[in-house]
Amino acid sequence: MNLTLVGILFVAAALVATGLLAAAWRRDALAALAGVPLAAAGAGLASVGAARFGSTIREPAAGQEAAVLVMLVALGIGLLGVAVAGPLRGPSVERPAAGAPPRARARGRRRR
Amino acid sequence: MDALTSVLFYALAAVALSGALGVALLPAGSLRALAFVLVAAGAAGMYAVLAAGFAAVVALVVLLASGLLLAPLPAAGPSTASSGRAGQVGAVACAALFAVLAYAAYRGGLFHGTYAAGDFGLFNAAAMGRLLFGRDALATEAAGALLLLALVTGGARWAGWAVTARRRR
Repeated sequence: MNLTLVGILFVAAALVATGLLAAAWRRDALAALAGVPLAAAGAGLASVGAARFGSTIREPAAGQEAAVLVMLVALGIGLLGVAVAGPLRGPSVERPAAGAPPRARARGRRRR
Repeated sequence: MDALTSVLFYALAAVALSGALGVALLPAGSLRALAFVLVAAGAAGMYAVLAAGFAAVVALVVLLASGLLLAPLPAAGPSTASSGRAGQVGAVACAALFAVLAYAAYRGGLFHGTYAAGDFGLFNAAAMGRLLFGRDALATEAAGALLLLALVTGGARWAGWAVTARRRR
């Protein structure tokens, strides 16, 4: 068994597709954000594989640099998404407790 | 590459892909956090096998941070998982995308210009620094600005929420 660029690109494609699956499968936007780092890891793997097997001697680390930048941007998108639409919405969206009276439950449902 | 490296790479790929499927399909909570840890370990291991130690460390930090940030969100409940028609169409589209990418990887004519992994070191930090802060400094600054903006936004929202909560008390 030999490791080739085609094998690496297969794994990278699977990671990217799984990241998009995570984004498509979830109804909640915050849960869908979890697909971004997965897709970024796949894209970075493709870049690193290209740098390992197909690079020129002029800039051999360019693919690794692209992987680092893609991962940093993925972290930034995740942070920004949680900061903008995260759970820090204040007390108005807190769910009522399980034993709360029905009126409080209905209020909580309306707020959500 | 020798057979042992190849076996190690494919084993790490299996770990990463199983973790990625867990992130995609498991409900929020500790299981999803464990799936994030699997993805981080698998992806960083694959990068390290490909002699990209610097990228491996960055991927490990980013994926673990993403797991800490996103695994518990949203709170576990019936509305988190999508099993409707839109989700199924999205899953089929992802499978089609994987098929297209795999076909492109298999049929693509790629120039083979290999270099030895040990020639530049595992971390290759000097070359990475030259690229990140020299040739592509603008891209690094843009990524840093995005991270700073995200941190400032999160801090401002948290501060606003804390002030509102104190006033209501």
